[in-house]
Amino acid sequence: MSNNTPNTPLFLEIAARTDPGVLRTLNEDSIATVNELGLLVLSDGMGGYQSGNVASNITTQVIVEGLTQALKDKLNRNSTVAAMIENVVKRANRAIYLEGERRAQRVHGGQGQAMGSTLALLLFQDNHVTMAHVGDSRIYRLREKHLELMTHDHSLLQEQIDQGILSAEAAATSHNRHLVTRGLGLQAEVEVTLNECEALSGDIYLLCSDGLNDMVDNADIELVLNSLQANLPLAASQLVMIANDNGGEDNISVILAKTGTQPTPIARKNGFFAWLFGR
Amino acid sequence: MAKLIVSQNGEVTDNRFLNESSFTIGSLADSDLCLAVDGVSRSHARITSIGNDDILEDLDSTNGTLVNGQPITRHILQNDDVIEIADIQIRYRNYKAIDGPSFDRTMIIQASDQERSAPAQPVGAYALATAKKEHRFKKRGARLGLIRVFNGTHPSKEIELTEVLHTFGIPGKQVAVINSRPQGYFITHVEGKKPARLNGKSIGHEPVPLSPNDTIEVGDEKLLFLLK
Repeated sequence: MSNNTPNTPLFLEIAARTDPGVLRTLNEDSIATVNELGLLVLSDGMGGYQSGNVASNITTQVIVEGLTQALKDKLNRNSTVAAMIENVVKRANRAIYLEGERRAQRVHGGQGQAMGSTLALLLFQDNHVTMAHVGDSRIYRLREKHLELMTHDHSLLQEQIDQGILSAEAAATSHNRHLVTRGLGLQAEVEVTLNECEALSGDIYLLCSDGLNDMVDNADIELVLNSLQANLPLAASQLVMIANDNGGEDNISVILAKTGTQPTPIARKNGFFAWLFGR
Repeated sequence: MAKLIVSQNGEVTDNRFLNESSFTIGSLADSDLCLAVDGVSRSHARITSIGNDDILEDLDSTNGTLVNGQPITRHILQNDDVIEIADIQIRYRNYKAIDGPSFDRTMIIQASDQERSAPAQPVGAYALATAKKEHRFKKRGARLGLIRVFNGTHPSKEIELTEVLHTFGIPGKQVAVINSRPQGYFITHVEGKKPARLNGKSIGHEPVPLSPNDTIEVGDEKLLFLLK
């Protein structure tokens, strides 16, 4: 994209936390970040016999490896970043799908317990951010102190809201919160929702599993990000803490990414940042 | 376990429990709920149970299925929903549903056609859907925290600690956060070369619990922590 005013170089600061929550011993979420690439990946696994764990790990691994390779090779010069992401997400989908089939055969005749995972992904490139998601993991953005939801859950609950059957208020008290209509590894093919936007200095992006947004009010998420943005690792751990204080009924994962023209002292000290321009 | 109360012309004719993963409704004799009346299709509707959730689907019936007066193709049943098929009314009772959201493992359901064909919406256009106020931690019977701010020796203002967190100090120089938690109030260092001081001692980099009459020095202010 050619811009007549040269973009101010942006740096990216990243902080991430994942926690099993209060009620569960197993953490089926999986997160991965690659500072140099500006890549953030979050995945919430589902499926019986601990296979959710396996699915979410395959998701983060295949995507990080695939995108690292694709971006370094520059073999895909003529393909867009979005196409590159879609390609590796579909690769992860197939890997989980095949693993699921293999497991189903091992438990011969056993009712094929589906195994799958959600996905929330961000890739920063030259002041530009590409978002991808599947299932009910979310991406939020704090800009000018306002929290915005950037993704649209692929869930039965959201479907009911979209069709006007349930109001958003009724949905908040609904007990049916966890039925996803899309996931990686459930079928041979998967549809990925992709979006792009320009990253502005001062934006904070939040990727989270439903263990956060089910337990913590959006107003409180907004308050934490506004109040603690000078200390991103603290903001991440406080989000997890509040989710646990509110009951912590599911695994909780958060990845925070803040764009700016200068690293904060805390980011500089910990080395948790990377410059985004010139790649 | 959920229960269906079937009635016709205001009279209860049947009671059924949903104790199988799939429950069929239709005029066919081997339906789980056989309704041999006019206007009911052979295979009219089905209720699928996943975890604590019961999902009603119309099976392309001739005359349709209503829930609380509205036609549905698929619907997550909520306690006290009334399903209407022809002139039969079926009330759905699920006492577990009254207690609020359940957090069973995430599970998978096929997307309906509507979901697949839903038009893409612009980025950032969504309402902040499904915020959950009732899960916000509320202190029951606990005393509310209060900060009295001093400029010099005179109290200048009081701040009630009603939010989950409040920050104090000067951004870029020295900031501390006070969290309201089920176990009480805690102060934590946020930014600045030196952490704030509590009763004359540095709070360090880990959360520190607060007690009434604790004094805090942060930024250029002196704070007194109290319980109401």
